Amino acid sequence: MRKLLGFALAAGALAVGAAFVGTAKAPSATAAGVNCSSSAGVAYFGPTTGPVASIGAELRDFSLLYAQQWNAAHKKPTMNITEGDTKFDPAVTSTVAQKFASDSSILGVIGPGASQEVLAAGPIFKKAGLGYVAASATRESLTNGSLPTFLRIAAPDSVQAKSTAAFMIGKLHVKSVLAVDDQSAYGKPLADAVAKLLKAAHVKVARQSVTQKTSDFSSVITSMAGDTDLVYLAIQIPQKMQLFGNQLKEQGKNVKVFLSDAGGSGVNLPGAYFSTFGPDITHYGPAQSILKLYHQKYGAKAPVTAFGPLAYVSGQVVVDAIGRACKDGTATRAEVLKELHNTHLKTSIFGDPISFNSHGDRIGAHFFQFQITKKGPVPVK
Amino acid sequence: MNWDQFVQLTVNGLTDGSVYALIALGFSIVYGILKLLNFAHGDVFMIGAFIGYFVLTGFGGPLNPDMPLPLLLILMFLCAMLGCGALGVVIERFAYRPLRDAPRIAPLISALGVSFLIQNSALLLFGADIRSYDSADLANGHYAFPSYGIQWGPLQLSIIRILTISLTIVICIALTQGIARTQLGKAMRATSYDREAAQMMGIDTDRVIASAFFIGSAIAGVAGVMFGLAFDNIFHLIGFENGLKAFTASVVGGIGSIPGAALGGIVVGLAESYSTGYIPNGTTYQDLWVFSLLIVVLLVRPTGLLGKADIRKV
Repeated sequence: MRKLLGFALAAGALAVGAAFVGTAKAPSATAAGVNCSSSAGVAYFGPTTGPVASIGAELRDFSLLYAQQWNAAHKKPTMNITEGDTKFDPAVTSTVAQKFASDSSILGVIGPGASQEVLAAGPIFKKAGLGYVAASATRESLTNGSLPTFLRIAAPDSVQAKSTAAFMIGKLHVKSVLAVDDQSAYGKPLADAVAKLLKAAHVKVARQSVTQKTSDFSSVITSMAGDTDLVYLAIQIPQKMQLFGNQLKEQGKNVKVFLSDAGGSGVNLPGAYFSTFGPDITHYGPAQSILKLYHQKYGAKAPVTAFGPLAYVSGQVVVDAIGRACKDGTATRAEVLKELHNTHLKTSIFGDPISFNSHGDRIGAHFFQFQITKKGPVPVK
Repeated sequence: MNWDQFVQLTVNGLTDGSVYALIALGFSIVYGILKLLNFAHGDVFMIGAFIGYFVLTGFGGPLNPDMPLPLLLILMFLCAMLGCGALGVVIERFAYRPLRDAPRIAPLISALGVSFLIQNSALLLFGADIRSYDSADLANGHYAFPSYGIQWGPLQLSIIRILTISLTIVICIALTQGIARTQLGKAMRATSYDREAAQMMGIDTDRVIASAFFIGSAIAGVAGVMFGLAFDNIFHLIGFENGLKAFTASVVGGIGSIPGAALGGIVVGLAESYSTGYIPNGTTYQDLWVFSLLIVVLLVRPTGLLGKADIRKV
């Protein structure tokens, strides 16, 4: 009985201790504001490892570049960066989001990368009142009001779907399309939206869904209707797009290929088109100093795709908002969130002005079409 | 019925099935001797795919290989076989042998532990990026290799698919004959039948079991290289999914039976291919069809298609 009592007391003491620690780190501490006169917490999370690690590395490096520039210029407050790796897995994303939400020193979050990660973090950040800005999450419903602390730089899928369908019909004159998605929160709605617009224009559309783990597309290709003149791939993993294209060639299917945004991340299928949310900044004058710094830090061969510039802007928006909120020496997460919505950049690394509507969508965000050539992607007018 | 489509789907299914069959052989060999479900076997397959990749890129890559392509392919297979065989022996020696007389749940848990150990070691060593064999580039390199686009009647297929299917047939025949006719094969059968009696008859059962692990793992190495050549993309988690399918294949075929493992692999591969081709939304629910098939087979033949019921003394 004594032993039992001892265990009960110990368990009680542990519970009280845990509650005390929890309270000390709870976000409610931010209600009164945290002291950020000298330093402030900013977090980044994204798919640094996992199946889209090649994109994840670029997202991370560009997202944190502005904070590093801010700190190097000795601006106040100094940005204390906390990082989390979502591994492109919604379950891991929730865990990382919970860690950020519980750390009262974190005032704003840069990231994550994809729509399913935004959804996984959403309820946690909503409860914690923590604002987060993603560069490349494009799912339409992310800004329907259910995630009030979320903002994004990329244009939503409706914009992508409209421009993609218009391009297929107007420029490529398609008559019969196979639309393939990867069953992700990004791929499926996008393929559905494009298919709907094409059908409305009397284009014959067939649909297929593969998983992100599918390693062989040959049977999907074999089953393709004989009159198909274009395959649309709304897939997030560029290597899977490459494999699909290779297997089309293997079976001698001579059809046009149109890729969603991951098509700009090293896919080598000459002749294929892709649509992406960011322009090519490699020759854009005002971006050169930032690109030089990026290559100095991460190597001459570090990739610059459509993801990087948008990631840079997402970091810029969050760090600037924290800077403005901390002007009086303290800030709450609510103040930072308000400042995120108050963002008004006259220009950006890709030339567009940056401001947001009340739902968190960037005003004026649009998509760009490219064609892959043997020398790399070239913009299509 | 569109026969061209049917034939092409069959070839696609046979290619996938060949890879499953080769992995399933390893499951069956080990289960046949030790009655152990070696869950780390799928990860050995993954290591084989990486060894092949590093040999390919180490010798110039697919576009500019340092040696004639057939020689490079042989080298890739040999290195993967030796590397995976050695890994299999090490796993057996340190993770399973100490638990040989422990309750059966212990080596099972150990197998799961080894699986995670290999997966995470691969993550640490090779990173999480998807690596690509870029097999399509083999056609454009110094040593022209028709990696795709061979027209054969209604069929459009690649040398790699032909290689995958034919190599699987050769390995299955060689393994079946080897087990039936060689000294080691007889020792393996004896050990499988009654380990203690085999030991008393002078058979070094430790050596026999280590040999079984070496052979099964070496075949998984071949499967890994074939997978990389046929489907390009490899990363540290490919072992789990393919291992699970191969395990299903060995159960469908009759676990412990070599021809059964091969047949099971082909059945699973064809089921995947036909479900994609003929069932609406077949790709979406591909795994549902495959595992439904497993349930149906086990309901009708609990020992699998070519499996035999254990005879136990009562």
